[in-house]
Amino acid sequence: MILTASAGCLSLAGFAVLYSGVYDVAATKQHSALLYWILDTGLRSSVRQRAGGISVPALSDTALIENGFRCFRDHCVQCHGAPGVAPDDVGKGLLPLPNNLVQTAREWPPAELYWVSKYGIRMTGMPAWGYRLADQELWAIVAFLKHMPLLAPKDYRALNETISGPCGLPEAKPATQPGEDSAPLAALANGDPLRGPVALRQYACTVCHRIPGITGPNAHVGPPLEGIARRNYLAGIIPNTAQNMIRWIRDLQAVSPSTAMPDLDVKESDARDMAAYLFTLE
Amino acid sequence: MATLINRRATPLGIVLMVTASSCADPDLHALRSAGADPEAGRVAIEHYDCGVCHTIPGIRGARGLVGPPLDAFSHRVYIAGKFGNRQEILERW
Repeated sequence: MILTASAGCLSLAGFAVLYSGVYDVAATKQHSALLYWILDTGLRSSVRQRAGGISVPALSDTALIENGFRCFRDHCVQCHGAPGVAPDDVGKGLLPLPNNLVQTAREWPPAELYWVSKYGIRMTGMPAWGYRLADQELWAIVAFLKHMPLLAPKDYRALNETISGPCGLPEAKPATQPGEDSAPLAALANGDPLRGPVALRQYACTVCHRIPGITGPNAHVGPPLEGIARRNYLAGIIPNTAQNMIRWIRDLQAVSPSTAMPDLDVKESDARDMAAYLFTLE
Repeated sequence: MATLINRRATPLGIVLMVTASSCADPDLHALRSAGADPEAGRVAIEHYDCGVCHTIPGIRGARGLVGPPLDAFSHRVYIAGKFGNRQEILERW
């Protein structure tokens, strides 16, 4: 009984702190040393536990390291900087601040560097890159990270001047699927409904749309997607079929010019996963 | 929709604005001050059978799946994904 009462009082106190706004969420306010240690230790332990089983490919190939450099330059420098290179403004205002990756590369094993690049770190500014970059590009970045401690700032500058071109490989075109008209909608999407919610978050869909089964803000920029599987039309223009859903997601400006929904550069396999999940929302 | 004149469009717009949780809304206040009546809007929506295509809270039988649902309409940022959700634009729509 005393335990119940204490638990009740603690909960009330917790809610009071929460709703009073007394906790300052400003990124300009530093963590206490204790909180910093808790967060940092928790982060290392979590990543170590999850990266443990990942098998690491060979990382010493020059072409791999060069491609990794291009991807690093395109995506990582803006927050993390590089030898002799400051991060952009976006990397300076974050809490926690993005690590200097030369130090990180010296201290962390490759599997953990890969894991963080692919899955990101929640509640920090480190995004998940797994939906933007293929596995071989992520490993290329890891290969370059492991090479970077060998570079003096002038070596990095020389690399930057001699290696041109963007990160990445062209998207592979999937084979077309014959005979699709008669199967159920979810099957027709030919995607994985379990990956759908992850894809929907990784393309920021929940920022604008309320989607059942996915935690997010009470978004009202676009219409809610409750019951989307049973709606007759998409965007009020095209019939709601699996192929049209995928077409809408990937090519919406062609379907509805001047729509406020932007082109999010969705890969075909991700659009299929999204459609497969959305068609479970009856 | 082409037969709607301003007199009816205004209450229609206002009942859509009130299908939401409580918030104070400047458009809603302006509409009420101009004499627009959400009750008349509700009647108009039922009369024009909007619910055949749209699911609308508070409207009898409005469970349509042709167009998008119209719940929390006053919170919506866009009309039809293209136009800012403001009273004069909603009336035109």
